[in-house]
Amino acid sequence: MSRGMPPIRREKRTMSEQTRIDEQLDQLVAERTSELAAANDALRKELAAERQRAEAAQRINEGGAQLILASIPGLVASLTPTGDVDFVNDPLIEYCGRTLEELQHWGTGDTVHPDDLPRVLQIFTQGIASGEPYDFEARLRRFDGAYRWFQVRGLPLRDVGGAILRWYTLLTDIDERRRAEDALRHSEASLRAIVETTPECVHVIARDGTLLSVNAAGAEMAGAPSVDLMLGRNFYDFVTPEDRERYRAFNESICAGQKGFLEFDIVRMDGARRHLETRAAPLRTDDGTVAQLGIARDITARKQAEARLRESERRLRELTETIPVMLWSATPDGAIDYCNGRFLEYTGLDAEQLMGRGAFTKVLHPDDLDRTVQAWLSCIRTGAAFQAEVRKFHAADTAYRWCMVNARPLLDEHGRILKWYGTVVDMHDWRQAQEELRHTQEKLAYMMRVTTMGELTASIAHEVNQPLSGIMTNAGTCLRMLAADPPDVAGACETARRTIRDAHRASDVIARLRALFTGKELTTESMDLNDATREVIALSISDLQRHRVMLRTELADDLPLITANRVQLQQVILNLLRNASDAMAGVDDGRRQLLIRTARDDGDRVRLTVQDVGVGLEAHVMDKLFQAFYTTKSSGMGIGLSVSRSIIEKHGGRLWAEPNDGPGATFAFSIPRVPERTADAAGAVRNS
Amino acid sequence: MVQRSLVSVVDDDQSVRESLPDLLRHFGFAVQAFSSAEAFLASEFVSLTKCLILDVALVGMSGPDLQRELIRRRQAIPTVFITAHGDTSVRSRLLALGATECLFKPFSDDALLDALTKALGTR
Repeated sequence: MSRGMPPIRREKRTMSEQTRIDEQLDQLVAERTSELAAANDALRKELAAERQRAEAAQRINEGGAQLILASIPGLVASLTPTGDVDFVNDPLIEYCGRTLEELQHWGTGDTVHPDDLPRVLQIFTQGIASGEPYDFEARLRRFDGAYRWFQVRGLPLRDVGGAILRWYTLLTDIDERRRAEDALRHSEASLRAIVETTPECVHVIARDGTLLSVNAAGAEMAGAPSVDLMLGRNFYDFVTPEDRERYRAFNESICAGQKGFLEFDIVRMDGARRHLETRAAPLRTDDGTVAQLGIARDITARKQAEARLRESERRLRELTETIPVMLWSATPDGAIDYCNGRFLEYTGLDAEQLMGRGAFTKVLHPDDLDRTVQAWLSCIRTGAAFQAEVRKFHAADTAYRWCMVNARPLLDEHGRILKWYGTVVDMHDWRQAQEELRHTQEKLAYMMRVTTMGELTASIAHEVNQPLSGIMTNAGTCLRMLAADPPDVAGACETARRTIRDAHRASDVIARLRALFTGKELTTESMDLNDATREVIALSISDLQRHRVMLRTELADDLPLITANRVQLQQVILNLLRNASDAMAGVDDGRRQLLIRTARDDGDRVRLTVQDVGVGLEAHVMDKLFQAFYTTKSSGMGIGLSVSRSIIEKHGGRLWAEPNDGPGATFAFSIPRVPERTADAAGAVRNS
Repeated sequence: MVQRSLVSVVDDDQSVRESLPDLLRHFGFAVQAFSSAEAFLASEFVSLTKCLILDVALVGMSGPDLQRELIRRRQAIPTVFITAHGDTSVRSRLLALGATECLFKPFSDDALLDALTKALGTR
């Protein structure tokens, strides 16, 4: 900088005057100039000294700063007043793994995380332009490529005039803190999300019942349209009057530091009543008081389901305990695990005595034990339904009574047995009645046979013998009267008349008998011979079983319907069955086999055969077999086959017998599907 | 003429009640015929009867019942049973009970006379 007076210029007037003035002026200028030069020199000296002082000060200052910057452990950079990096310390170079030159271009590289760069550039640019300190957080790339969070603070260094000399920037690694904050933020957000999305009501209730905080689920549970409508209200008002005091005590106990659990009813804002359960713990609030932090759950549906289940269980128990049947269940391996009260009462044992494998045998009659256990074990193995008639101990009369035991397995989807469920029914009385019925049936069958066959013949004999007796007596008397002397002719005539009358009586008896056997009309219906046969078998099955006859049937599938008198044909079949059964009375048990077979026969006929393995037929009886009053049996009148043949012939059919190749005989009849003419058939019987 | 022995016939068959008395009278007996055991017991002839010809299968009280009733009353009468139900087992049973004879209908006049003679002990 230069300081000096401007050059002085003047106009030429007169020489002398001019010269004098010039001399005067020059004198003045010289004085003045010398004066100014001296001042200027002094000033220059002063300025130089000043500059030297300032430069020295700056040199000292900068040198110290550089030294400090290089030696501090943090990451530091210094920048020119325009923001260009002109110095970075070693820690920063080491962190970034980059040279000063590279770091000088941080604004275009990846030193700052790309996501942070635009924001950083904006803050930085604004800071440099305004000269205000800047402070931001950003991720910086480490030498290995990982980004870590830094707090970046920039401060300007100014000279005495306030001009910015340089910027100092301090980078502090805040990654740990930042991550912790993130985690915390995340965790808080999660918690809030959990609370807000949980279907349970989360609430904070003050000691006086004021609702301080509640989640959306809580508002919904209370039937409130929004959370805001709930806050600040007294929660006690929601609790039903009958539960309110209990709830108040509960709340106060929680606020006094206890944890707790309570079930109670509320009335929702829409008036609906709900059953809630709540778990609560004390929570210290910001103002230092203790409130109740509670989680409430609407268990109305669960309670109702429980009530329904209880009711259903009660009904089932009622059913199982009042049903007049003994019930039991067993594990897949057959161990009893349940008996109903009736079962226990019946046997007089307690549950422990009846539980377990084989315990059931305690109540069985010793004679039934083996077969029952065998059958039960077999069912356990195969999963087949179990059924047995056993004598079971009955405590009330300390006797064994006949019972029917049934059990069925409950299977899973793979067919494995999960459980056995069984019943026991006392059928003692029924069985006795059945036995009596069987006796009665047998007696009745016998009576029928005796009535239809034996008594018939007896009455025939009686009916015929009575008039015969009269005839003989009268004839004898008549002879004696005629032989007397004198002959009593009048008496003889009278007795002879009576003889004739009695002979007519005898003739009438015979006529009545014939009518009885043949009948005038054959009433027929369309019928299935197989059905009729099955009915007869059903009627006589118990009889056959008692005589240990093993019955086999081979009933043809293609048998046509026939037109016949059903009852009469059944009498014939019954008669053949009885004869066959009687014929096998002398055969060993287990070999009494009886085969009933039906078949189509030639000429639109059907045939039924009854084959036995009994005493068989000897040749000399064959022709007498169907005569009335012929019998090979010690008991019997020999009417059955005769009547049977009459019936079959009336149907236009044929009844015959033949010896088997092996033991026994076969009786058979064959009848046309439709009798040709009933009258002819009846006539044929009369003629035979 | 000596008093003729009274023979009573009890049979529910009319032809027997008609034919037998004629024959018996011809044999020389006095005869009374009854259609039932009850009618006989109710009559005055019980104590007068020397021989009873009695049908086995009577309606109501049977022949054997009547015989037992008479024994019970200590009024036993020699009895010839007659029956249309021919059965030897019936015969032996009746004889064991004290009957004189049991004839199967129809029987001959000679058989009847033999039986009566045996019953009355007159031979």
